[in-house]
Amino acid sequence: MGVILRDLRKEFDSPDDRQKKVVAVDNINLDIKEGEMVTLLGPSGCGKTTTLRMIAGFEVPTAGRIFLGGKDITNLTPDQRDTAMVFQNYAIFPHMTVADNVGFGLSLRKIPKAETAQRVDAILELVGLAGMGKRMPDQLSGGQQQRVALARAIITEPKVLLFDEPLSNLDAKLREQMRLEIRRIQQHLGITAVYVTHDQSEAMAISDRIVVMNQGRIEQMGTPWEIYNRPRTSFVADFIGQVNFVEAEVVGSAHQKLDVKVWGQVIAIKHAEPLPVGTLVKLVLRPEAVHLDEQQAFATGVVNRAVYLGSVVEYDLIVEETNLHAVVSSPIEKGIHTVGDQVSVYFSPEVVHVIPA
Amino acid sequence: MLSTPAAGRRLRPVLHDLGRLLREPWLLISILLIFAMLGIFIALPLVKVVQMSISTDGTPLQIYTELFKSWYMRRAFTNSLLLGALSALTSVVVGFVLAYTVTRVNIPFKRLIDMIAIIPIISPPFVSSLSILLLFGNNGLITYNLFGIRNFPIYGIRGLLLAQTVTFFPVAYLSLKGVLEAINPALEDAAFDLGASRWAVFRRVTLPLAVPGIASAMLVVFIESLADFGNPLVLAGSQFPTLAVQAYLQITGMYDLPGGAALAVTLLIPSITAFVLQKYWVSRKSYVTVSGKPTRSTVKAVGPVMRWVLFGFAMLVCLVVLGFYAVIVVGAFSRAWGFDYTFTWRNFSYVLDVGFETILDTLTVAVTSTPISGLIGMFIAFLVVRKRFLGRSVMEFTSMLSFALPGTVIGIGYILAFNQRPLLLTGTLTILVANFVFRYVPVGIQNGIAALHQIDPSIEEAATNLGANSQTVFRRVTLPLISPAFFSGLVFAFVRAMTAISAAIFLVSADWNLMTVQILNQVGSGRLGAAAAFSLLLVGIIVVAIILIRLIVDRLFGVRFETRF
Repeated sequence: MGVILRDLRKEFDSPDDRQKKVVAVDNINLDIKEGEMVTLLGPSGCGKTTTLRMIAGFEVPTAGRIFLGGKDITNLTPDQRDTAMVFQNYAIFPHMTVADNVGFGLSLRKIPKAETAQRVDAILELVGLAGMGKRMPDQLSGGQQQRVALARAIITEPKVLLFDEPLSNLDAKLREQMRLEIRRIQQHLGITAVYVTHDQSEAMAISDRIVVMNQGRIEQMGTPWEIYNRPRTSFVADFIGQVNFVEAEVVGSAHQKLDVKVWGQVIAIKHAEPLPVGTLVKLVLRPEAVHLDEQQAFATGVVNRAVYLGSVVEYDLIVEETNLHAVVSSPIEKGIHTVGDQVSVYFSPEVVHVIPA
Repeated sequence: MLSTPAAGRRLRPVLHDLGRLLREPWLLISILLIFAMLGIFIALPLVKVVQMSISTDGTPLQIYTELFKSWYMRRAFTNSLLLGALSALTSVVVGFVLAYTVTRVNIPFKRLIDMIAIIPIISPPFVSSLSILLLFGNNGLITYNLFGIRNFPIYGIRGLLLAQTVTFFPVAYLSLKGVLEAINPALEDAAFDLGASRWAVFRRVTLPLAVPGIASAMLVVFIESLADFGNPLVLAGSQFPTLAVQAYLQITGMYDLPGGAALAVTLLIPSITAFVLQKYWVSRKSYVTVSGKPTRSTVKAVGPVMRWVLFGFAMLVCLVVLGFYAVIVVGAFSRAWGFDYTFTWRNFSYVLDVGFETILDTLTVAVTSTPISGLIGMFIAFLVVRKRFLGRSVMEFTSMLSFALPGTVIGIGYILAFNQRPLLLTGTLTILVANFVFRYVPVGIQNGIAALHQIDPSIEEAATNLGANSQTVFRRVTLPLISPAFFSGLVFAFVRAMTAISAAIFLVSADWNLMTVQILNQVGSGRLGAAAAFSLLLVGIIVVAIILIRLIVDRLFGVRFETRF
């Protein structure tokens, strides 16, 4: 079932002054379709976790409504909602075995013991913990605890699965493995899911749609492709991956294209709305889109710093007295520049994207 | 010989430890010194009591068989156990409900509840008995003044259970509050989220997670109730003998030292059993989970009706405690309790007249013993947590043991151990100070150990790395970091030194007397007004002293600390 957030707002008492309020979530509207995996992405304190906890029912919204499958659930307590959450620290009951943890939700629903045992086994199999039902939580590794938390959440077949930074306590390798696993299971079950994280690569890897949040507001929502390649604000561009903001001036505007002057050159760039001539804009240029030593060139730069990372080389270039970050792949083919080298700089007009200055 | 290499392997780390100790002579000397003191002031008295109770011409256990031929003594044994078990139950129930209400329910006056819970802890343990006498005794406010009943049956288990519950529920409350606060709120949220009702969350998650803490609190109250001397002496009457009181009467009334010692040893057995259970079994089972992000749900843990019920209960408890103490205040300023409630200073002038010397004595003993106890406690904690040496666990156990030893046992042990040269201490200031130092050192040790475990060893390693030796690390890094624990331990030791009675009653003399002993004497001779005035004075001194200690510590050391009991 889909989830709809309408004008959702949450204020907390300020810790410094009880008279004042802190707005954690500022009038959010969001439609999540059935079976969709949506990630709330943003820096800490942006309101993403508060939004998630309101969907779960742990926080009561100051204003606004929450709908699940068309039904208003704003005033229901967490136990009355068909949502299940995977917590950041897993929140596995330390006094119960793995099987008792996973079967907890079923026992509350008065499911017969035999059936519970069967379903627990099946779910443990699904999350890759077959045969570990009798263990106590403290006998599990971090990754296994994570799987128990996931199994416990999905066994009751909730309508929405909620994830609160579930991978933040795992090491990098396990994190990458688990996020694929979570995605696989979510798609296998066809369940609607909301995922909270501050890790942009995790969000890119796992989501159908990403909602970038900042200071309690939605900054932009869209597919991972849109968020990365067509960021609407400098905040989004900056938060998702590395980025160069190149200053430019509009010199002409026609047929959904803008002529902009950058580094003394005029370049035609796709842009839906026309802008008046003379407007200052920023070009969003990803470091990996910067090409060095091509046939064509927009400018000449000087290498200020070069870091060899094996698969890529990272350069800081000085172009027209400003810094430009470039990432060049396959150095074995293209060679490595050293500090002080002069290089020609080019990018395809197709890949850059215009945002307001 | 197959066992030689194995023995060698076992011996090698020991030799290694020894080698390291020899390189730090000051450390070795202080370890030996502490062992000597623990031996003399904790182990020796204990050995003397046991020795006294079995060394006769006949069979080894003759004294016990003689003693427990009497149904009265057998009754004392069962009474003590019964009272201990019941007190543990009622105190923990009251303490748990209160702790749950304060930690999980949104109610006003939480700070008031905390303050109310502190009052019984900083007063002499028998004050609630005094209140009960003033309320329900022969001239009681409720029984006589309200209902005209002269001999309401308040003596015996009814009154005692009430008195001990009021005295000991704060102990359970404070420790269970800590237990409930330490439960990761996400666990309750998770259960709630999975569809558990509020009641199911409580029954299947909160309560099971708190069970080790509940068991531990029960055992602690059980130990305290067994050791309680003041309340039974005032309220037990002749129909309800208890071990602690009978041991005292056997010695002071019948001059039967072996008999008293045997009763004390009988008292010792359940106490030590409970202590060992608490320390080595229950505490191992705790599920304390520390969460990185303490986001307590704003969704309430209880429904509106339950909220009112719990709030009502909390207020009732506060009212009872306040009532008990209000009675003491009124009693202290009344002409003749039960007959003439007109205001008077007479009780106070009488108390200052007969007791001024005693007040000075009490302060001298408390002020001397408190810092010594605190320092030794911190030092033992440091040794136990940070150093490796032979007998480390023996040191920890012996120093913690005195918490489990009922004061009666220690008191008798001290008069037996220190009544001849070269350790002729009976009747002196030293014996009282030594008693308090070693009785309350476990609290300092516990605070110190907890504080040290909070400090990452790498902080101390950093200092060593920069060139500081062991002494400098302790003085410049460790000590400042654990000083809040040190000072809160000081306050506790001071309060206990001011209010203790069960061991001290054996050790006071004409030269060195204590306020608690004198208050009990006043109660014994029926001067309840004077006893009330004296108690009030004692509590007043303690409150002023706590405020002073905090001010001085804050001003001199810049350390703000929490007073924990």
